Amino acid sequence: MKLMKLVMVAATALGVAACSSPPPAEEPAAPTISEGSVQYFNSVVGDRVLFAYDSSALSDEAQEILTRQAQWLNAYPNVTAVIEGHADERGTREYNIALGARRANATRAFLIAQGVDGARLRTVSYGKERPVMTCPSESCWSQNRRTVTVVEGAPTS
Amino acid sequence: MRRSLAISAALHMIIILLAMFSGQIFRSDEARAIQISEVELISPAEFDAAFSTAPEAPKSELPSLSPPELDGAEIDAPDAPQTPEKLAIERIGADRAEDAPRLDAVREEPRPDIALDVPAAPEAPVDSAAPEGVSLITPRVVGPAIPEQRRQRPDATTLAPESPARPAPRISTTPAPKPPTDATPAEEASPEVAPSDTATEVAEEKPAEAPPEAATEIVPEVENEPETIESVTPLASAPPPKRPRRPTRTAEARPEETRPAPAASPNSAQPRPSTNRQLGPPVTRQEKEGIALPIRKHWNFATLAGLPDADSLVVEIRLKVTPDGRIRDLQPYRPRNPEGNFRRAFDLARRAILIAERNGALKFPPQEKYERWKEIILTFDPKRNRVGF
Amino acid sequence: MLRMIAAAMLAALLLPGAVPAQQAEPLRITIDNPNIEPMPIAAPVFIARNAKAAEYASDLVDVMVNDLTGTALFRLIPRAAYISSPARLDATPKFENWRAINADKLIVGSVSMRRGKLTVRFRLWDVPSGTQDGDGLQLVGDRKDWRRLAHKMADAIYSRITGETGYFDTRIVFVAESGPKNRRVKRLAIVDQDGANLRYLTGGNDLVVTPRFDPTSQRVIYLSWATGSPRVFLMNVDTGQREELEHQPGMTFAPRFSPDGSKVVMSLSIGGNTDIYVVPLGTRQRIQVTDSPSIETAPCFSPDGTQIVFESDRSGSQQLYVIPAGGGEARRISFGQGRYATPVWSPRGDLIAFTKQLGGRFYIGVMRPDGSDERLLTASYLDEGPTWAPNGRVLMFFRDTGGAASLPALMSVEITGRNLRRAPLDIPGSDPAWSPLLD
Repeated sequence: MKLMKLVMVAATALGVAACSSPPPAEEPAAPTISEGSVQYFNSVVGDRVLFAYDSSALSDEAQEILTRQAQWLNAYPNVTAVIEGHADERGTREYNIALGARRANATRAFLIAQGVDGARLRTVSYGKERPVMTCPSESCWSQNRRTVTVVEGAPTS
Repeated sequence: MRRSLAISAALHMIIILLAMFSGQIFRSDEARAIQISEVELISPAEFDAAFSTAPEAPKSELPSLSPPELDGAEIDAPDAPQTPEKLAIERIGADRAEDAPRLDAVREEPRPDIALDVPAAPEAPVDSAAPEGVSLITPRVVGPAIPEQRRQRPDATTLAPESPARPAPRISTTPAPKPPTDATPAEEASPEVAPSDTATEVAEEKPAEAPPEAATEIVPEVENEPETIESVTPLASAPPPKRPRRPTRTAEARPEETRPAPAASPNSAQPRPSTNRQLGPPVTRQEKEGIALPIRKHWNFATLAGLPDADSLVVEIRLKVTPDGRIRDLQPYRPRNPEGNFRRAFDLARRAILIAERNGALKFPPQEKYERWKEIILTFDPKRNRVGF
Repeated sequence: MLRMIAAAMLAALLLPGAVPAQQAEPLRITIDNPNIEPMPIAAPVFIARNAKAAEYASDLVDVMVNDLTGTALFRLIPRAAYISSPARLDATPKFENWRAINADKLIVGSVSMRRGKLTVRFRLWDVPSGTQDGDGLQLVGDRKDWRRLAHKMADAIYSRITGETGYFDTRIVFVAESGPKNRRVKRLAIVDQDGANLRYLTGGNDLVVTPRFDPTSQRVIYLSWATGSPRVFLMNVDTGQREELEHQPGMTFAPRFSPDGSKVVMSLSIGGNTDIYVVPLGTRQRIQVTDSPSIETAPCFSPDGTQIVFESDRSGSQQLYVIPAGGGEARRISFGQGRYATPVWSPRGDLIAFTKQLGGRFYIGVMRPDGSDERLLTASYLDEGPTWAPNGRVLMFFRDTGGAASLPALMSVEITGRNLRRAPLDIPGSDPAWSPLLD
């Protein structure tokens, strides 16, 4: 029953993804990216999900992205991934490492629930040590509160 | 058995009573309850003001910080183990000169020459003091360290007998000289720059002023026997050679320098009032301020303010004052024998009193009330508003 | 019976004294609210007792005076104002010359050198009373350690005047930072408390944070991502030798030594849940202290080693708790507004310093171990990570003013809230940790 639901969610997500993807013909760069590549995963599937302040709850949008990640990972079973958990700079260093660990674990658990073998998924927390955006305002902080799924063992492009 | 106990107790009682009777007011030294002041809240504006001068973080990185290329090798690898070596620390004797200049009209009680208590352990000649070729030196005692208790401290600063040879400077009619905040630049260098070994000190009425920051010259404090650089003076042994008695000074010598001879004749102008005299009207609050304000002005508690028990370091000092307004006795009153941080608190309070007196800033109540202020107990309570929010 | 005799004697003895009915009580005056201002000190250049020592005569005094004045408890009266200068260490100073410039304390010293060893002697004089403060001291050390000799002198003087041990012969280990925020380079570095002798301990390729000193030695524990995951490492800062604390699964972080240096308390994160563990350095076998689905981190032992203060979000946001070091019931101690983090127990046990977040600002504050008497000492965009001077009187922390290009700076503040200042260090840094006093 649960499995059934998941399959349906996955199918829906796949459908949405398919619909939202532009026709390949109109994308000049598209042909050079193989679907099994790291670049495809990062740019098309989406390698990161964002979190609310001091939260590790997965938003609808995050779940959508992670569902696509799971499908991709299930399609390429030789690929492994490191899930990095990050926090913004509006917290203390050690708490943010714990918070990043919590976020990475939430992401990993979702992927496992989507059928990805947990042995392929390692987590690491960087706390607030590796921001992508540097401005001192919410527009940047929101981009830094994230998990990033870094895939390994796939061709770069 | 019981009888001997009783005798002993009675004798003790007599001794205690005699001590009480001899003028000391007996008070139990019961510990004062530690009081903790409330945390004062300050407004955000005050806070910002307080921190507005806070240094800013550096705005730019320093070029020297550019990361090195490699990991591992580029560490400032200690060429040799960088273990800090032990440093040897020793006490040197608490010698002090007998003729140390003293505060105006305040004389310390005669004290034993402490250096005599120390078995003469003349220090090794200067240049062989350090054991050679040993990097880790354990402290080596040069002469026994002198226990804290045996070191005489001038808590009981007793005044020179009764009357001074000159009228004490009462400043009640003239404005008190502004206590210099620091080396107040004088218009001209103070004549004290004259070499100290020319024994005639310049008569100078005004309080000593520091010369302007560009001093004309700094005079070595040499006594009459200049020491050759390489000569060795045993640190723990005899006190420095006695300073030759200075030639007589001019009559108007500065207050600091005029020490009344012990045998000076009583000051007939200010006969000591009899104890039966009328007390006079009560001392007003304003009159108390004439004493409190100048002392508080020089009472600096910074060095003790960070102690956990800072607020409890309340000390009381008893002053005996002459009719012409000089302090002739200054004693710790409570605690009676201040030790440790109470000792330090007492020192800070005494300093404030001595400086206020030296500056002639103390204004005592009128003569007619002398019976009321010939003895004063000053309570120094360091509680103050805390910084923080 | 005895009492009656005593009472009778008392009455007999007191009778004559009670006769003058007009005897006044001593006048009582209370003086409060003292000034808090630097104490003026005079410190003439030391007397060089031989030619080789001459080059140290003023440097030694300058380093010592810089330590003392850096506390803001003292200030140096400029030498140009001195009327005379002591020619001999053993001569009693001419106090009138020092009173004239309002000096409170006078430091007179001499230095000699022989075979690479410096011998420094000094005496501290109390100018207003014209007495010596304690005995003179003699210090002997290698020429290359001349700064430490100066620090030791400053420690001795500070201790005599304030009644607390000094903290000048100490070092700070910290994280030197460089580069933009999204490519920040972090290196462990160590520096003397006064900013001298800066030395880097790691190269900058590995991300490193939160170094902490062993209170009993010159060993440091820190967090590094060198293996790809946050792991706790030990380093001897004098030899540079490093080792991973343990090789077991999970992320380990937030390490601190026990007061006796025999154990490490830290956080371990497994499956996204973070709890607190103690690792004895002998057995290296983890002992779990907390067991809760919430985040428990930033642990720190009490100075007697019996308790651990830490932060937890079990109530919904970060708050401070105290738990017996062997585990047990945790007691919440922070109840003010906002979040509380990074608790650090004072070496003298009377206070716990912390980082507080409230209304978008970060504060450094202190409270008593039972949570009472909370006081905030600093505030900025980001103030974080307090560390105690070994005497428990001064806190160092780091401050970031925010902004894309900002770099953090080490700051210090006295627990009275006074003397907030940049640490004397001209490079950006974070995560300072104060060493114990050197031997």
